[in-house]
Amino acid sequence: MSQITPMAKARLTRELSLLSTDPPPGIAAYVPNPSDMTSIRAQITGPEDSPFEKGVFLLLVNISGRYPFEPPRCRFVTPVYHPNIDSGGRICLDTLKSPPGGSWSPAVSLPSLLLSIRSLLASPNPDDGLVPEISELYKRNKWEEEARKRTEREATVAKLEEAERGLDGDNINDEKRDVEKSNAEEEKKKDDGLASKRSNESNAEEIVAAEDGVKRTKR
Amino acid sequence: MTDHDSIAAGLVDDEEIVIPLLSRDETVSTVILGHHPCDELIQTARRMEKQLHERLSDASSEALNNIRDDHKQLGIYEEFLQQCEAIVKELLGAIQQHLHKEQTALERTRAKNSRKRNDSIKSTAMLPPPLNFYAMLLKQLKVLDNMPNVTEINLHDNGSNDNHEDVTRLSVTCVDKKKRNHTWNAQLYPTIILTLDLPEEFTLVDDNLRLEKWWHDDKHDVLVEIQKRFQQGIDIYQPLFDELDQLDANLWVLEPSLPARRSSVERRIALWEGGASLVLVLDAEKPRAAPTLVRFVGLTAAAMKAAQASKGDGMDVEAKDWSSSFAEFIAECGKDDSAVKHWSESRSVQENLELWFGAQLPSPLTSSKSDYLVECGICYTHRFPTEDVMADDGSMPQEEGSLPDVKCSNATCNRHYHESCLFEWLHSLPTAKNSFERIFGSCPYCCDTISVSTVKGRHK
Repeated sequence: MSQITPMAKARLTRELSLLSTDPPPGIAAYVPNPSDMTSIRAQITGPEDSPFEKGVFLLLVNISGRYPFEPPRCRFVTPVYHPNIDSGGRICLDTLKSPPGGSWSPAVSLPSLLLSIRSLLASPNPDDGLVPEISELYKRNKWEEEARKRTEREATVAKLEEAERGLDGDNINDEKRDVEKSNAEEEKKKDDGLASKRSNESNAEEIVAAEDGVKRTKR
Repeated sequence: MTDHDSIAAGLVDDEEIVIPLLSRDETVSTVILGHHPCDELIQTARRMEKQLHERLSDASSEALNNIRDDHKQLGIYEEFLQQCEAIVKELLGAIQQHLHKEQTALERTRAKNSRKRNDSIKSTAMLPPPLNFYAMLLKQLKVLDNMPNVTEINLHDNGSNDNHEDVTRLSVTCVDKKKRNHTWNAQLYPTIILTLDLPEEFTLVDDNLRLEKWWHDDKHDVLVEIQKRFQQGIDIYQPLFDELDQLDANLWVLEPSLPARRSSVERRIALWEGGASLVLVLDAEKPRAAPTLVRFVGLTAAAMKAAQASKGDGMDVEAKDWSSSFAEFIAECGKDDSAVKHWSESRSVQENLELWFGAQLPSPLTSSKSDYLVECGICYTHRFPTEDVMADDGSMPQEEGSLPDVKCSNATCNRHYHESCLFEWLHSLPTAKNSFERIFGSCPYCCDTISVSTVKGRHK
């Protein structure tokens, strides 16, 4: 379990209660393990009038130790056929990156972050595509049909429950490490200056996590 | 022997003289004189003490030698005691002479002696209370229990790490005319230490009340007397409690957190949404008089603009200079013939405030408190969260932690931040610049320039 500051704890408590009492449309977020607020899951229903509208997507949100000065790390577990989301579930969204490369700021709350991820589903940004093939299909208007087909196949409630069961079986640390790893890789790819520094941190973290498996000592 | 005892007992009453005579291992100079600054006096006393010991030992050895001689015995004891008396008188005379000479020294001696007395009390605190302590306690508790206003009496041990579990803490709860509860707490042994929740001006303890070794007081039931005086105090402040209760029930009181302590005469009252509030301090004796201290919080142009927007054209918030208008309002207090509207003691505090405000003040009956408590835009809390005071569920106690003090100067943004939160954010921005112990960057919400002191931000 990663250490969070009292400030992050206070903010998260507020945000989680907001998410549960006044959830944004189409988003149901919760903490699977009440003793660890840093690991959050969200079920996002596909936006209406988008190829995803019939689907339910599972998203993992992992709060870093420097939250809210650093963005949470987010990854889709449910496969999403989308120009800005790759096969590992990594999301290319500027709100999810720290400045100067991205537009994360403490002003972004969890509900608004989840909302912007949901609206990314409805309106892809092919010019900043993470997956060139899908971007290409999108530009040629051949994406929608494929996305709809895949949504019907992959983003079902049954698949969602299966995925959740899989996660519950996993060690929570593995789950987190996956998210961190994917983010670190993505940042390395996308962002040179700051990202390299941060991914070094994540790498160091991975080593620690790998060494003792259960206990996280860093931060 | 009996004569000796009675004389000795007579001497015991005058504690300051007898202690050195009876316990030889203590020296006269340390017990009577304490740390008297006058060296001369100490020397005199030491000299006399030495003499005293010599003569006493002479007399007692003589008495022992002749102990079997029944005829001589009484005479020897008399002689022995007379000698003692003479020595003591001599000693007293010498001391008094010096004390007269050195008036200032005397005062200092008294202060030090009293301090010393307290020290000796502390050392006896380790001993369990004497039996008559409990006898008196029980007797007085019975009286207290029968008093009509007393609703609850609790006895506790002192909760300390002392080994003995003596019941030496008392709390008494009573009701006033409006059925409000009031409680006083006291530590009973070795001396009464009272904790009351009444306005500061109220003094319950005076010279007639014996707090130290109170169970020796035969004339008064000290605990009962305390309760009587406490009840009187409550009666005096009924008008104050009425006013404060009215404010607490009908207006948004931001500080102190409710229920407030009865001794608190200060209230911070929300004026309108967006954080503007008014701090007033009532006169405990005359609660309806014009408040003694009035201060405005968060009364900025932006706040007024927002208030005006929300109120529509019903009131001209912006054009009004609130603090000077309030000063005028109070200044006219007492002039009942004055044509202008003014603070009047015939109205309640709330009525006066609303008359000045020109409208109803926000009330918990019509709005929620979170509208008036400003949150930090970064950590989303009012009080800055720190490890040691935060509850397990992440909530913060009302009175701890700093408030969001930095405000974005962009009037449409108008966000508040804790100095340390903003500092940490700006610090992590690659574009932020440091200059003259301030760090400059962009507001997390509106991206306008905002700055915070690096000194203050880092320290928290």
